[in-house]
Amino acid sequence: MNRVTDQGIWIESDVPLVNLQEWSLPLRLVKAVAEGIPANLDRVSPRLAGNLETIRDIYAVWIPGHKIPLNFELSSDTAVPEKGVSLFFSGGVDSFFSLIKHRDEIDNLVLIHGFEVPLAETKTFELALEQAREVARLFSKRLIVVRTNLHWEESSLYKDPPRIPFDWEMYGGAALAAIALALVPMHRKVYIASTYPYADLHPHASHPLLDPLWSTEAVQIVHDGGETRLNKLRVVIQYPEALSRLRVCWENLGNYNCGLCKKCIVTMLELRALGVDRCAAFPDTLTPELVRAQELYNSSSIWHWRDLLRSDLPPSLHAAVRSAIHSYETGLPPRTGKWKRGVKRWLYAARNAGRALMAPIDRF
Amino acid sequence: MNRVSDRGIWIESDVPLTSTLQWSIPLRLVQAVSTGETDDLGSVSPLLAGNLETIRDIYAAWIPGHQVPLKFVLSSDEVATASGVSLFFSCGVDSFYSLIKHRDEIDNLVLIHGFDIPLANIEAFALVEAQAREAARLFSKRLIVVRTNLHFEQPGVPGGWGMYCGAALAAVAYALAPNHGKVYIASSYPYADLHPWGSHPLLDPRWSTETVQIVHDGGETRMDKLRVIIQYPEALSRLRVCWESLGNYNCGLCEKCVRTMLALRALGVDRCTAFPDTLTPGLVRRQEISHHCVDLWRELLCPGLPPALYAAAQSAIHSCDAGLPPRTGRWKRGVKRWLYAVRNAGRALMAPIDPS
Repeated sequence: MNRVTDQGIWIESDVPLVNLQEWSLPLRLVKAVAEGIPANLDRVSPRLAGNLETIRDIYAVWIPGHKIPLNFELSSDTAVPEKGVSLFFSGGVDSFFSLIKHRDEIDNLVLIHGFEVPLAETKTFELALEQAREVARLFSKRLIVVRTNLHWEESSLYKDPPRIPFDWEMYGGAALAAIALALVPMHRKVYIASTYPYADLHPHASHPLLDPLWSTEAVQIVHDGGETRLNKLRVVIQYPEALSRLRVCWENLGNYNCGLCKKCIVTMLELRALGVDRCAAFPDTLTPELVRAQELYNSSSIWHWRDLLRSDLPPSLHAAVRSAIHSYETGLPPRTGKWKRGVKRWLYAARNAGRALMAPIDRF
Repeated sequence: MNRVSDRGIWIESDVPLTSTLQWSIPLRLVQAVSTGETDDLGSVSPLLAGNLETIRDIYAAWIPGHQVPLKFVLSSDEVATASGVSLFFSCGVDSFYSLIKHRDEIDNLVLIHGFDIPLANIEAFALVEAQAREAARLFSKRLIVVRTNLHFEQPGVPGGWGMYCGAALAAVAYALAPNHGKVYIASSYPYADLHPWGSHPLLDPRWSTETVQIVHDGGETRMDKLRVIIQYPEALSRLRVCWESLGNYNCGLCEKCVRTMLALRALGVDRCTAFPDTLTPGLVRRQEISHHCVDLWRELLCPGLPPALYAAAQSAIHSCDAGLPPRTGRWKRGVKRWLYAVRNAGRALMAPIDPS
């Protein structure tokens, strides 16, 4: 097992890792912007150096953080790019789509333990690993397994965590870049499968504007696929070996997909909209009542839900999706069909109307 | 006067213009994505060709349009890149900021007649041109004036001018190729607010060719940009932000004028000769803010703003958020707001009609 480590954060893998400190630069830079303390970034490859200012400016606005001065020196090592092409692979819709789209080009699938699956959850990870291994075999790719404490050290699972300055949504892209740089001996190009479609580009750490800026002379980082999730699934369902191994759930309940969380529900809805009535990767939990009772909130990818309204869902599910979105848009708790909830919705509506009329207290 | 034209759309200027048809590729591509009819793009520079697919996909998602097949041939012409750096210049906050930021690098300011000012409105344009000429003189830049019917004759692209403007700027940048190797497009929105829009940091640089590099400049917030501009009185007194009343330089009454005047006041600038003296709490409070602009208003809520204006801005933002018509202080408006609140609550409770 090889390991790189910097300020308490480590990445380990069976495959050879980089011997330069540059791998942790994304983490140090983003932390510095968040805290407003200028960091010494040491030696930086010329290509990345040319983009550092833009990266800093974007993060400074998004976090929001500080436009700290950038201290670094240009690295003069002439990096010789290796051969392979890698794809970060979680078994989700985005990574399966990118795998299928670039199947002729990709050599390695990189599976990470410590991002969405906490390090302590070995059972859940075993499940994911087993399926990923099978996918790699079926698509004739090499599976690279990486373990890291990059994400989950901030959780209560660990004592004395190094402070990760803000939430994962803003940090994830830099973390992926750090792993791409740590794995430099394995590839010259890395695909990051897009999280959101082009039509929904809110500030998010893995973003088509940001990801390619982390590229160095040794490794090119590509943010791949701005297609909508429905269009991605339309491709994935043509590959039953992929479809039966889809893993979208972040709840880590010990099941592969719980079938009850928002991400499971939206994926099951999308599959149903595309005419897939049964998918072995999901339990049989989808009902209009479950859909209607979902409490959507801003960060829960409301765009994907709206996209479902334009699809061929069965009428009862379509109405349930519409109801959940409507409850979200009007700031009411979602319908459950119970009378208590009906009363609660009335109270909320009255409260919202009152707030709209009264606040803010107008002094003049 | 030199002129290039393609299918009824023309661009003209005193300076030399390109001799190839490549200038109109952005217009033809966006049109094709919008109608779903494949168009032959002709000969395309290799750099641009590598990006065409991404541009098409972005536009297809944004307009929304069609992922039309791309038909083109790679251009093999050896093209010499002209020296010179240009900036599209409208005298607004964004273009003045980019001018100041890159003042050592920029050679030309490009002022366009036909985009925000209709071609027929010669008087309004003369006013702007005089100020732009003065700005060019003060900053020792050359002013390039371009006339085009691009905006007002362009057939209906869904999303309108907002979706089309980046492609139109790229077309003008290509047409002016003999005058520059690099063109700055001053950003319209900050990094924090990157909704689909024709001029976008994701889109603009992808229009670059071997001959002309296109740079989307400045994701700073409007407040941060103004903070720089107010240090240059010669720029401040020539600011033009108004798209409404074209007879005056700035009307001082429209949403954009009010927002800019508020920002200046928040930065401690009490008088600016570019704007009439119209700013009152009443005017601010009754602004009907669109959801597109409300984030730009939120930026204004900073301690520098006098309390009366602060409260008025807060009230206008709140009316927008709550979906009510803004306060005017009149009793009739008070009643209307009550009715709207009841209607909104009813709609929230009832719709959508649930079949189960």
